[in-house]
Amino acid sequence: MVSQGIYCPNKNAPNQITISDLPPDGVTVNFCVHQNLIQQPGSSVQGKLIAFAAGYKPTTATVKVDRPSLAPWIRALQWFVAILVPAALVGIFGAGSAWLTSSLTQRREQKTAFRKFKDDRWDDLADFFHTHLRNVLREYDDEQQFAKRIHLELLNRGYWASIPWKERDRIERFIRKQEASRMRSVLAALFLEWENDLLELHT
Amino acid sequence: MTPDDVLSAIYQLRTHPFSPSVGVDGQPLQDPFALPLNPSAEPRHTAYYYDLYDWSGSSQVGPLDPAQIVRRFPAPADLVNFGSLLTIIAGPEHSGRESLRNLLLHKIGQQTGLPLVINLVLEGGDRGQIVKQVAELFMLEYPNHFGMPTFDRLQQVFQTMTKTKVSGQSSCYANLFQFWRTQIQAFCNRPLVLSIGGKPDYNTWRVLYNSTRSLFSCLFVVTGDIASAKTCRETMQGDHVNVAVIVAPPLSEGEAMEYVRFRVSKERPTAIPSSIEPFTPAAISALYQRGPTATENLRWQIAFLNRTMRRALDDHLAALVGILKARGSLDRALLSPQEIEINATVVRRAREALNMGQ
Repeated sequence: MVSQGIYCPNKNAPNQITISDLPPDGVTVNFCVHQNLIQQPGSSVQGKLIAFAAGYKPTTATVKVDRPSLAPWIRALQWFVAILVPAALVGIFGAGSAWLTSSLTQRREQKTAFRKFKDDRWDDLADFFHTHLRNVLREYDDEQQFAKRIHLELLNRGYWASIPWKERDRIERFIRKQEASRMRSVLAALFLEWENDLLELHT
Repeated sequence: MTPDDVLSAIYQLRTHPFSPSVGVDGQPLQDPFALPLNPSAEPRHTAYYYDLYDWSGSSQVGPLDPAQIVRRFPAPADLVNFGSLLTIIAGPEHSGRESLRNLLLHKIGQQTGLPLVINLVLEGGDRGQIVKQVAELFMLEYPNHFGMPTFDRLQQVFQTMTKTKVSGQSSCYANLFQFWRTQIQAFCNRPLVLSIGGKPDYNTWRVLYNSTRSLFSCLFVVTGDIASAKTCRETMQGDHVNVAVIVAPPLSEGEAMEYVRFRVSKERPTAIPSSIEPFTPAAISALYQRGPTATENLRWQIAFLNRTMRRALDDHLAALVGILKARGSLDRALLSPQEIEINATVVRRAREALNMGQ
Protein backbone atom coordinates (compact mmCIF):
# COMPACT_ATOMS: atom_id res chain seq x y z
CA MET A 1 0.00 0.00 0.00
CA VAL A 2 1.31 3.41 -0.93
CA SER A 3 1.25 6.28 1.58
CA GLN A 4 0.85 9.90 0.68
CA GLY A 5 0.40 12.90 2.95
CA ILE A 6 -0.98 16.42 3.33
CA TYR A 7 0.72 18.85 5.66
CA CYS A 8 -1.42 21.83 6.86
CA PRO A 9 0.80 24.26 8.75
CA ASN A 10 -1.93 26.94 8.70
CA LYS A 11 -5.39 27.72 7.48
CA ASN A 12 -4.12 28.82 4.05
CA ALA A 13 -2.15 25.71 3.31
CA PRO A 14 -3.26 23.63 0.32
CA ASN A 15 -5.88 21.14 1.42
CA GLN A 16 -6.14 19.05 -1.70
CA ILE A 17 -4.03 16.15 -3.00
CA THR A 18 -4.23 14.45 -6.32
CA ILE A 19 -3.21 10.89 -6.65
CA SER A 20 -2.39 10.28 -10.20
CA ASP A 21 -1.43 6.66 -10.12
CA LEU A 22 -3.88 4.84 -7.91
CA PRO A 23 -2.80 1.26 -7.31
CA PRO A 24 -5.50 -1.48 -7.32
CA ASP A 25 -5.27 -2.09 -3.54
CA GLY A 26 -5.78 1.60 -2.76
CA VAL A 27 -3.63 4.23 -1.05
CA THR A 28 -3.24 5.48 2.54
CA VAL A 29 -3.54 9.23 2.99
CA ASN A 30 -1.91 10.77 6.07
CA PHE A 31 -2.77 14.28 7.09
CA CYS A 32 -1.32 16.40 9.81
CA VAL A 33 -3.06 19.27 11.59
CA HIS A 34 -0.84 22.00 12.97
CA GLN A 35 -1.31 22.68 16.69
CA ASN A 36 -2.06 26.35 15.98
CA LEU A 37 -5.34 25.23 14.48
CA ILE A 38 -6.39 23.75 17.90
CA GLN A 39 -4.75 26.08 20.37
CA GLN A 40 -6.84 25.42 23.50
CA PRO A 41 -6.30 22.12 25.34
CA GLY A 42 -9.58 20.23 25.41
CA SER A 43 -10.89 21.80 22.14
CA SER A 44 -11.22 20.12 18.76
CA VAL A 45 -11.60 20.80 15.03
CA GLN A 46 -13.89 19.00 12.77
CA GLY A 47 -13.93 18.75 8.99
CA LYS A 48 -14.62 16.50 6.10
CA LEU A 49 -12.41 14.40 3.88
CA ILE A 50 -13.81 14.07 0.40
CA ALA A 51 -12.40 11.57 -2.09
CA PHE A 52 -13.06 12.03 -5.79
CA ALA A 53 -12.42 9.26 -8.24
CA ALA A 54 -13.24 9.24 -11.88
CA GLY A 55 -16.34 7.19 -12.58
CA TYR A 56 -17.41 7.07 -8.90
CA LYS A 57 -19.53 9.21 -6.65
CA PRO A 58 -17.50 11.39 -4.23
CA THR A 59 -17.01 9.68 -0.86
CA THR A 60 -17.19 11.80 2.31
CA ALA A 61 -15.66 10.98 5.72
CA THR A 62 -16.04 13.19 8.77
CA VAL A 63 -12.76 13.78 10.63
CA LYS A 64 -12.52 15.18 14.15
CA VAL A 65 -9.22 15.98 15.81
CA ASP A 66 -9.18 16.47 19.61
CA ARG A 67 -6.48 18.22 21.58
CA PRO A 68 -6.07 16.43 24.95
CA SER A 69 -6.92 18.62 27.89
CA LEU A 70 -3.53 17.77 29.71
CA ALA A 71 -0.13 16.51 28.76
CA PRO A 72 0.05 12.68 28.77
CA TRP A 73 2.50 12.52 31.69
CA ILE A 74 0.18 14.67 33.78
CA ARG A 75 -2.69 12.39 32.93
CA ALA A 76 -0.52 9.41 33.77
CA LEU A 77 0.38 11.05 37.07
CA GLN A 78 -3.26 11.81 37.75
CA TRP A 79 -4.14 8.19 37.04
CA PHE A 80 -1.31 7.02 39.24
CA VAL A 81 -2.32 9.22 42.16
CA ALA A 82 -6.02 8.68 41.80
CA ILE A 83 -6.10 4.93 41.17
CA LEU A 84 -2.82 3.09 41.63
CA VAL A 85 -1.67 4.67 44.91
CA PRO A 86 -4.96 4.08 46.73
CA ALA A 87 -5.06 0.55 45.34
CA ALA A 88 -1.49 -0.06 46.50
CA LEU A 89 -2.24 1.46 49.90
CA VAL A 90 -5.31 -0.71 50.28
CA GLY A 91 -3.23 -3.74 49.28
CA ILE A 92 -0.38 -2.92 51.68
CA PHE A 93 -2.74 -2.11 54.51
CA GLY A 94 -4.70 -5.28 53.87
CA ALA A 95 -1.60 -7.45 53.79
CA GLY A 96 -0.13 -5.70 56.85
CA SER A 97 -3.33 -6.08 58.74
CA ALA A 98 -3.60 -9.75 57.79
CA TRP A 99 0.03 -10.30 58.86
CA LEU A 100 -0.56 -8.45 62.12
CA THR A 101 -3.73 -10.37 62.84
CA SER A 102 -2.02 -13.66 62.07
CA SER A 103 1.02 -12.73 64.21
CA LEU A 104 -1.16 -11.70 67.11
CA THR A 105 -3.19 -14.88 66.82
CA GLN A 106 -0.02 -16.96 66.61
CA ARG A 107 1.49 -15.19 69.60
CA ARG A 108 -1.71 -15.60 71.60
CA GLU A 109 -1.82 -19.31 70.72
CA GLN A 110 1.84 -19.76 71.67
CA LYS A 111 1.32 -18.03 74.99
CA THR A 112 -1.77 -20.12 75.73
CA ALA A 113 0.10 -23.31 74.83
CA PHE A 114 3.02 -22.22 77.01
CA ARG A 115 0.71 -21.60 79.99
CA LYS A 116 -0.80 -25.04 79.51
CA PHE A 117 2.66 -26.58 79.26
CA LYS A 118 3.61 -24.97 82.57
CA ASP A 119 0.45 -26.28 84.23
CA ASP A 120 0.99 -29.79 82.86
CA ARG A 121 4.68 -29.99 83.75
CA TRP A 122 4.57 -27.99 86.97
CA ASP A 123 6.36 -30.59 89.12
CA ASP A 124 9.02 -31.25 86.49
CA LEU A 125 9.68 -27.55 86.07
CA ALA A 126 9.84 -26.98 89.81
CA ASP A 127 12.52 -29.68 90.10
CA PHE A 128 14.30 -28.30 87.08
CA PHE A 129 14.54 -24.68 88.23
CA HIS A 130 14.73 -25.25 91.95
CA THR A 131 17.12 -28.19 92.09
CA HIS A 132 18.56 -29.31 88.78
CA LEU A 133 19.94 -26.01 87.52
CA ARG A 134 21.68 -25.46 90.87
CA ASN A 135 23.38 -28.84 90.47
CA VAL A 136 24.32 -28.02 86.89
CA LEU A 137 25.71 -24.66 88.00
CA ARG A 138 28.22 -26.42 90.28
CA GLU A 139 29.96 -27.77 87.18
CA TYR A 140 30.63 -24.30 85.74
CA ASP A 141 32.93 -21.39 86.50
CA ASP A 142 31.97 -19.40 83.46
CA GLU A 143 28.65 -17.55 83.21
CA GLN A 144 28.46 -17.76 79.40
CA GLN A 145 29.16 -21.48 79.32
CA PHE A 146 26.50 -21.99 81.96
CA ALA A 147 24.01 -20.01 79.83
CA LYS A 148 24.73 -22.34 76.90
CA ARG A 149 24.20 -25.36 79.15
CA ILE A 150 20.81 -23.98 80.30
CA HIS A 151 19.84 -23.70 76.63
CA LEU A 152 20.96 -27.29 76.06
CA GLU A 153 19.06 -28.51 79.11
CA LEU A 154 15.89 -26.80 77.88
CA LEU A 155 16.35 -28.52 74.51
CA ASN A 156 17.16 -31.96 75.91
CA ARG A 157 14.25 -31.95 78.33
CA GLY A 158 11.81 -30.95 75.61
CA TYR A 159 10.93 -27.62 77.25
CA TRP A 160 12.35 -25.50 74.44
CA ALA A 161 9.63 -26.35 71.93
CA SER A 162 7.00 -24.95 74.30
CA ILE A 163 8.62 -21.53 74.68
CA PRO A 164 7.04 -18.82 72.44
CA TRP A 165 9.08 -18.01 69.35
CA LYS A 166 9.81 -14.42 70.28
CA GLU A 167 11.43 -15.41 73.57
CA ARG A 168 13.30 -18.26 71.90
CA ASP A 169 14.82 -15.78 69.44
CA ARG A 170 15.79 -13.44 72.25
CA ILE A 171 17.38 -16.21 74.32
CA GLU A 172 19.40 -17.41 71.32
CA ARG A 173 20.43 -13.85 70.50
CA PHE A 174 21.64 -13.17 74.04
CA ILE A 175 23.59 -16.42 74.14
CA ARG A 176 25.21 -15.50 70.83
CA LYS A 177 26.09 -12.04 72.12
CA GLN A 178 27.34 -13.54 75.40
CA GLU A 179 24.84 -11.60 77.49
CA ALA A 180 24.03 -14.29 80.01
CA SER A 181 22.30 -12.01 82.50
CA ARG A 182 19.85 -10.73 79.87
CA MET A 183 19.21 -14.29 78.74
CA ARG A 184 18.40 -15.19 82.33
CA SER A 185 16.06 -12.18 82.59
CA VAL A 186 14.08 -13.45 79.58
CA LEU A 187 13.82 -16.86 81.22
CA ALA A 188 12.79 -15.26 84.52
CA ALA A 189 10.00 -13.37 82.74
CA LEU A 190 8.84 -16.57 81.06
CA PHE A 191 9.00 -18.70 84.18
CA LEU A 192 7.91 -16.06 86.62
CA GLU A 193 6.97 -18.70 89.20
CA TRP A 194 10.65 -19.63 89.55
CA GLU A 195 12.03 -16.13 89.06
CA ASN A 196 13.92 -16.16 92.37
CA ASP A 197 15.55 -19.50 91.58
CA LEU A 198 16.65 -18.22 88.20
CA LEU A 199 17.99 -14.92 89.42
CA GLU A 200 20.02 -16.65 92.12
CA LEU A 201 21.89 -18.74 89.55
CA HIS A 202 25.29 -17.10 89.32
CA THR A 203 28.66 -18.73 88.79
CA MET B 1 65.33 -62.03 77.95
CA THR B 2 61.72 -60.84 77.93
CA PRO B 3 59.92 -57.75 79.26
CA ASP B 4 58.55 -59.90 82.10
CA ASP B 5 62.14 -60.83 83.06
CA VAL B 6 63.03 -57.14 83.16
CA LEU B 7 59.95 -56.36 85.29
CA SER B 8 60.94 -59.04 87.74
CA ALA B 9 64.70 -58.57 87.86
CA ILE B 10 65.02 -54.80 87.60
CA TYR B 11 61.80 -53.57 89.24
CA GLN B 12 60.74 -56.49 91.49
CA LEU B 13 57.31 -56.46 89.86
CA ARG B 14 55.38 -59.75 89.70
CA THR B 15 53.62 -58.64 86.55
CA HIS B 16 52.81 -55.55 84.49
CA PRO B 17 50.94 -53.19 86.87
CA PHE B 18 48.75 -51.77 84.10
CA SER B 19 48.21 -54.97 82.14
CA PRO B 20 48.58 -57.85 84.58
CA SER B 21 48.96 -61.30 83.05
CA VAL B 22 49.19 -63.01 86.42
CA GLY B 23 46.54 -62.77 89.13
CA VAL B 24 47.06 -62.23 92.84
CA ASP B 25 47.10 -66.01 93.23
CA GLY B 26 49.99 -66.36 90.78
CA GLN B 27 47.77 -67.98 88.15
CA PRO B 28 47.46 -66.62 84.59
CA LEU B 29 44.90 -63.88 84.18
CA GLN B 30 43.35 -62.13 81.19
CA ASP B 31 44.16 -58.40 81.31
CA PRO B 32 41.54 -57.14 83.81
CA PHE B 33 41.82 -53.56 82.51
CA ALA B 34 40.85 -54.45 78.94
CA LEU B 35 37.16 -54.13 79.90
CA PRO B 36 35.29 -52.88 82.98
CA LEU B 37 36.16 -55.07 85.97
CA ASN B 38 33.59 -57.78 86.57
CA PRO B 39 34.09 -59.90 89.70
CA SER B 40 30.95 -61.95 88.99
CA ALA B 41 32.69 -63.29 85.87
CA GLU B 42 36.22 -63.34 87.35
CA PRO B 43 36.35 -63.21 91.17
CA ARG B 44 40.04 -62.22 91.12
CA HIS B 45 39.03 -58.85 89.66
CA THR B 46 38.17 -57.67 93.18
CA ALA B 47 41.91 -57.15 93.73
CA TYR B 48 42.08 -54.53 90.99
CA TYR B 49 39.56 -52.03 92.37
CA TYR B 50 40.83 -48.64 93.47
CA ASP B 51 38.64 -46.40 95.58
CA LEU B 52 38.53 -43.24 93.51
CA TYR B 53 34.80 -42.80 94.16
CA ASP B 54 33.04 -39.96 95.93
CA TRP B 55 30.64 -41.58 98.39
CA SER B 56 29.38 -38.36 99.98
CA GLY B 57 25.95 -38.78 98.36
CA SER B 58 25.60 -42.36 99.52
CA SER B 59 24.84 -43.15 103.14
CA GLN B 60 23.69 -46.67 102.25
CA VAL B 61 26.62 -47.93 100.13
CA GLY B 62 30.42 -47.70 100.32
CA PRO B 63 33.28 -47.07 100.64
CA LEU B 64 35.35 -49.90 99.11
CA ASP B 65 36.81 -52.34 101.56
CA PRO B 66 39.07 -55.16 100.37
CA ALA B 67 37.84 -57.46 103.13
CA GLN B 68 34.10 -57.11 102.58
CA ILE B 69 33.98 -55.49 99.10
CA VAL B 70 32.10 -52.42 100.43
CA ARG B 71 31.96 -51.36 104.06
CA ARG B 72 28.25 -50.44 103.95
CA PHE B 73 25.60 -52.19 101.93
CA PRO B 74 21.96 -52.81 102.87
CA ALA B 75 21.23 -56.30 104.13
CA PRO B 76 18.45 -58.14 102.23
CA ALA B 77 16.12 -57.59 105.19
CA ASP B 78 16.74 -53.82 105.00
CA LEU B 79 15.67 -53.80 101.37
CA VAL B 80 12.42 -55.47 102.36
CA ASN B 81 11.80 -53.18 105.32
CA PHE B 82 12.99 -49.88 103.88
CA GLY B 83 12.28 -50.45 100.23
CA SER B 84 14.38 -51.00 97.13
CA LEU B 85 17.71 -49.28 96.73
CA LEU B 86 18.29 -46.95 93.81
CA THR B 87 22.03 -46.53 93.25
CA ILE B 88 23.09 -43.91 90.74
CA ILE B 89 26.71 -44.14 89.62
CA ALA B 90 27.66 -40.95 87.81
CA GLY B 91 30.81 -40.03 85.98
CA PRO B 92 32.27 -39.74 82.51
CA GLU B 93 32.85 -42.84 80.41
CA HIS B 94 35.88 -44.97 81.36
CA SER B 95 35.92 -43.49 84.85
CA GLY B 96 35.21 -46.79 86.58
CA ARG B 97 31.44 -46.49 86.88
CA GLU B 98 30.61 -49.79 85.13
CA SER B 99 33.27 -51.55 87.20
CA LEU B 100 31.64 -50.27 90.39
CA ARG B 101 28.19 -51.39 89.24
CA ASN B 102 29.64 -54.86 88.56
CA LEU B 103 31.25 -54.90 92.00
CA LEU B 104 27.96 -54.02 93.71
CA LEU B 105 26.19 -56.73 91.69
CA HIS B 106 28.87 -59.11 92.92
CA LYS B 107 28.15 -57.97 96.49
CA ILE B 108 24.44 -58.68 96.00
CA GLY B 109 25.40 -62.07 94.60
CA GLN B 110 27.42 -62.83 97.71
CA GLN B 111 24.57 -61.76 99.99
CA THR B 112 21.55 -63.34 98.36
CA GLY B 113 22.62 -65.26 95.28
CA LEU B 114 23.35 -64.38 91.68
CA PRO B 115 21.08 -61.49 90.71
CA LEU B 116 18.83 -61.62 87.67
CA VAL B 117 19.66 -58.35 85.91
CA ILE B 118 17.32 -56.64 83.47
CA ASN B 119 19.25 -54.10 81.39
CA LEU B 120 17.42 -51.07 80.05
CA VAL B 121 18.90 -48.43 77.74
CA LEU B 122 16.86 -45.23 77.93
CA GLU B 123 16.26 -43.42 74.67
CA GLY B 124 13.73 -40.85 75.84
CA GLY B 125 10.04 -40.70 75.08
CA ASP B 126 6.85 -41.27 77.04
CA ARG B 127 7.52 -42.49 80.58
CA GLY B 128 4.53 -44.82 80.53
CA GLN B 129 5.98 -46.51 77.44
CA ILE B 130 9.38 -46.81 79.12
CA VAL B 131 7.82 -48.55 82.13
CA LYS B 132 6.00 -50.90 79.75
CA GLN B 133 9.33 -51.55 78.03
CA VAL B 134 10.83 -52.66 81.38
CA ALA B 135 7.83 -54.94 81.91
CA GLU B 136 8.33 -56.47 78.47
CA LEU B 137 12.07 -57.00 79.06
CA PHE B 138 11.31 -58.71 82.38
CA MET B 139 8.56 -60.81 80.83
CA LEU B 140 10.98 -62.04 78.15
CA GLU B 141 13.94 -62.65 80.48
CA TYR B 142 12.29 -64.28 83.50
CA PRO B 143 11.09 -67.49 81.77
CA ASN B 144 14.71 -68.16 80.67
CA HIS B 145 15.59 -68.76 84.34
CA PHE B 146 12.40 -70.00 86.03
CA GLY B 147 9.63 -72.31 84.93
CA MET B 148 6.86 -70.70 86.93
CA PRO B 149 4.96 -68.52 86.32
CA THR B 150 5.14 -69.16 82.59
CA PHE B 151 5.60 -66.52 79.92
CA ASP B 152 1.92 -66.89 78.98
CA ARG B 153 0.82 -66.21 82.54
CA LEU B 154 3.10 -63.17 82.86
CA GLN B 155 1.86 -61.90 79.50
CA GLN B 156 -1.77 -62.39 80.49
CA VAL B 157 -1.25 -60.21 83.56
CA PHE B 158 0.68 -57.67 81.49
CA GLN B 159 -2.13 -57.39 78.95
CA THR B 160 -4.78 -57.03 81.63
CA MET B 161 -2.86 -54.47 83.64
CA THR B 162 -1.79 -52.31 80.71
CA LYS B 163 -5.14 -52.21 78.95
CA THR B 164 -5.75 -48.80 80.45
CA LYS B 165 -2.94 -46.45 81.30
CA VAL B 166 -2.59 -46.19 85.06
CA SER B 167 -0.15 -43.39 85.64
CA GLY B 168 0.48 -40.41 87.84
CA GLN B 169 3.25 -37.84 87.86
CA SER B 170 5.59 -40.20 89.69
CA SER B 171 4.69 -43.77 88.64
CA CYS B 172 3.05 -45.86 85.90
CA TYR B 173 1.58 -49.38 86.00
CA ALA B 174 2.92 -49.91 89.54
CA ASN B 175 0.14 -52.49 90.12
CA LEU B 176 1.52 -54.72 87.38
CA PHE B 177 4.86 -55.09 89.12
CA GLN B 178 3.22 -55.60 92.50
CA PHE B 179 1.07 -58.37 91.06
CA TRP B 180 4.05 -60.02 89.38
CA ARG B 181 5.94 -59.87 92.69
CA THR B 182 3.25 -61.91 94.43
CA GLN B 183 3.13 -64.31 91.48
CA ILE B 184 6.87 -65.02 91.36
CA GLN B 185 7.55 -64.95 95.12
CA ALA B 186 7.16 -68.70 95.57
CA PHE B 187 9.40 -69.60 92.61
CA CYS B 188 12.09 -66.95 92.22
CA ASN B 189 14.99 -67.30 94.66
CA ARG B 190 17.27 -64.77 92.97
CA PRO B 191 17.35 -61.04 93.65
CA LEU B 192 15.93 -59.02 90.76
CA VAL B 193 17.92 -56.01 89.63
CA LEU B 194 17.12 -53.34 87.06
CA SER B 195 20.16 -51.70 85.47
CA ILE B 196 19.48 -48.46 83.60
CA GLY B 197 21.77 -46.66 81.14
CA GLY B 198 21.33 -44.39 78.15
CA LYS B 199 19.82 -40.92 78.06
CA PRO B 200 19.97 -39.21 81.45
CA ASP B 201 16.66 -38.01 82.88
CA TYR B 202 16.13 -37.77 86.61
CA ASN B 203 12.34 -37.71 86.24
CA THR B 204 12.34 -40.94 84.25
CA TRP B 205 14.61 -42.61 86.80
CA ARG B 206 12.22 -41.55 89.55
CA VAL B 207 9.19 -42.87 87.65
CA LEU B 208 10.99 -46.15 86.93
CA TYR B 209 11.94 -46.54 90.59
CA ASN B 210 8.47 -45.75 91.89
CA SER B 211 6.81 -48.02 89.33
CA THR B 212 9.02 -51.09 89.57
CA ARG B 213 10.39 -51.05 93.12
CA SER B 214 7.96 -53.71 94.31
CA LEU B 215 9.60 -56.17 91.88
CA PHE B 216 13.24 -55.07 91.74
CA SER B 217 15.07 -54.95 95.05
CA CYS B 218 17.91 -52.92 93.55
CA LEU B 219 18.02 -50.48 90.68
CA PHE B 220 21.26 -49.18 89.22
CA VAL B 221 21.61 -46.13 87.02
CA VAL B 222 24.92 -45.56 85.23
CA THR B 223 25.10 -42.06 83.82
CA GLY B 224 27.50 -39.41 82.61
CA ASP B 225 25.32 -36.61 83.96
CA ILE B 226 26.43 -35.92 87.53
CA ALA B 227 23.99 -32.99 87.94
CA SER B 228 21.02 -35.20 87.00
CA ALA B 229 22.17 -37.85 89.47
CA LYS B 230 22.29 -35.30 92.29
CA THR B 231 18.95 -33.81 91.26
CA CYS B 232 17.35 -37.25 91.31
CA ARG B 233 18.57 -37.88 94.83
CA GLU B 234 17.60 -34.44 96.13
CA THR B 235 14.11 -34.51 94.61
CA MET B 236 13.46 -38.01 95.94
CA GLN B 237 14.70 -37.34 99.45
CA GLY B 238 11.33 -35.90 100.35
CA ASP B 239 9.73 -39.25 99.51
CA HIS B 240 11.93 -41.03 102.13
CA VAL B 241 13.26 -43.53 99.64
CA ASN B 242 16.61 -45.29 99.40
CA VAL B 243 18.66 -43.34 96.87
CA ALA B 244 22.45 -43.37 96.76
CA VAL B 245 24.58 -41.28 94.42
CA ILE B 246 28.17 -42.33 93.89
CA VAL B 247 30.37 -40.18 91.69
CA ALA B 248 33.24 -41.68 89.70
CA PRO B 249 35.36 -38.61 89.00
CA PRO B 250 38.33 -38.32 86.66
CA LEU B 251 41.61 -38.03 88.58
CA SER B 252 43.66 -34.92 89.24
CA GLU B 253 47.46 -34.99 88.99
CA GLY B 254 47.87 -35.74 92.70
CA GLU B 255 45.21 -38.44 92.59
CA ALA B 256 46.83 -39.99 89.50
CA MET B 257 50.15 -40.10 91.35
CA GLU B 258 48.48 -41.95 94.23
CA TYR B 259 46.78 -44.34 91.83
CA VAL B 260 50.08 -45.18 90.07
CA ARG B 261 51.70 -45.71 93.46
CA PHE B 262 48.82 -48.00 94.50
CA ARG B 263 48.94 -50.07 91.31
CA VAL B 264 52.72 -50.46 91.19
CA SER B 265 52.92 -51.31 94.88
CA LYS B 266 50.19 -53.92 94.48
CA GLU B 267 52.41 -55.90 92.12
CA ARG B 268 55.49 -55.76 94.38
CA PRO B 269 56.26 -57.84 97.44
CA THR B 270 54.81 -56.13 100.51
CA ALA B 271 58.23 -55.87 102.12
CA ILE B 272 59.34 -53.29 99.56
CA PRO B 273 58.38 -49.70 100.49
CA SER B 274 55.70 -48.29 98.22
CA SER B 275 56.89 -46.13 95.34
CA ILE B 276 55.94 -45.21 91.81
CA GLU B 277 59.13 -46.67 90.26
CA PRO B 278 59.77 -47.04 87.34
CA PHE B 279 57.54 -44.00 86.81
CA THR B 280 58.70 -40.55 87.89
CA PRO B 281 56.57 -37.62 89.10
CA ALA B 282 57.60 -35.78 85.94
CA ALA B 283 56.19 -38.61 83.82
CA ILE B 284 52.77 -38.19 85.45
CA SER B 285 52.96 -34.38 85.34
CA ALA B 286 53.53 -34.63 81.59
CA LEU B 287 49.91 -35.75 81.24
CA TYR B 288 48.61 -32.79 83.18
CA GLN B 289 50.29 -29.88 81.42
CA ARG B 290 47.65 -27.27 80.61
CA GLY B 291 47.34 -25.85 77.15
CA PRO B 292 47.81 -22.09 76.61
CA THR B 293 44.04 -21.40 76.59
CA ALA B 294 43.00 -23.86 79.30
CA THR B 295 41.32 -22.29 82.33
CA GLU B 296 40.86 -25.40 84.46
CA ASN B 297 43.21 -28.05 85.78
CA LEU B 298 43.15 -31.26 83.79
CA ARG B 299 41.61 -34.47 85.13
CA TRP B 300 41.87 -37.87 83.46
CA GLN B 301 39.67 -40.95 83.69
CA ILE B 302 41.27 -43.99 85.28
CA ALA B 303 41.03 -46.00 82.03
CA PHE B 304 43.00 -43.27 80.24
CA LEU B 305 45.74 -43.50 82.88
CA ASN B 306 45.79 -47.30 82.64
CA ARG B 307 46.13 -47.19 78.85
CA THR B 308 48.83 -44.51 78.86
CA MET B 309 50.91 -46.03 81.65
CA ARG B 310 50.62 -49.44 80.08
CA ARG B 311 51.94 -48.15 76.76
CA ALA B 312 54.70 -46.10 78.38
CA LEU B 313 55.89 -49.11 80.41
CA ASP B 314 55.68 -51.43 77.37
CA ASP B 315 57.81 -49.03 75.30
CA HIS B 316 60.26 -48.57 78.16
CA LEU B 317 60.59 -52.32 78.69
CA ALA B 318 61.18 -52.93 74.99
CA ALA B 319 63.99 -50.37 75.05
CA LEU B 320 65.47 -51.85 78.24
CA VAL B 321 65.47 -55.37 76.82
CA GLY B 322 67.58 -54.06 73.92
CA ILE B 323 69.99 -52.25 76.24
CA LEU B 324 70.39 -55.18 78.62
CA LYS B 325 70.86 -57.67 75.78
CA ALA B 326 73.63 -55.48 74.43
CA ARG B 327 75.26 -55.34 77.87
CA GLY B 328 74.92 -59.07 78.23
CA SER B 329 73.29 -59.33 81.66
CA LEU B 330 69.99 -58.74 83.46
CA ASP B 331 71.63 -56.64 86.16
CA ARG B 332 70.22 -53.38 87.50
CA ALA B 333 73.75 -52.18 88.27
CA LEU B 334 74.43 -52.02 84.54
CA LEU B 335 71.79 -49.34 84.10
CA SER B 336 72.07 -45.63 84.83
CA PRO B 337 69.28 -43.99 86.90
CA GLN B 338 68.06 -42.28 83.68
CA GLU B 339 67.76 -45.64 81.96
CA ILE B 340 65.84 -47.14 84.86
CA GLU B 341 63.24 -44.37 85.10
CA ILE B 342 60.27 -43.66 82.88
CA ASN B 343 60.48 -39.94 82.28
CA ALA B 344 58.13 -37.35 80.80
CA THR B 345 59.36 -37.89 77.24
CA VAL B 346 58.46 -41.59 77.30
CA VAL B 347 54.96 -40.81 78.56
CA ARG B 348 54.46 -38.07 75.94
CA ARG B 349 55.58 -40.43 73.18
CA ALA B 350 53.25 -43.12 74.49
CA ARG B 351 50.37 -40.65 74.48
CA GLU B 352 51.17 -39.52 70.94
CA ALA B 353 51.31 -43.12 69.75
CA LEU B 354 47.93 -43.87 71.36
CA ASN B 355 46.44 -40.73 69.86
CA MET B 356 47.66 -41.86 66.45
CA GLY B 357 45.93 -45.19 67.02
CA GLN B 358 49.19 -47.16 67.14
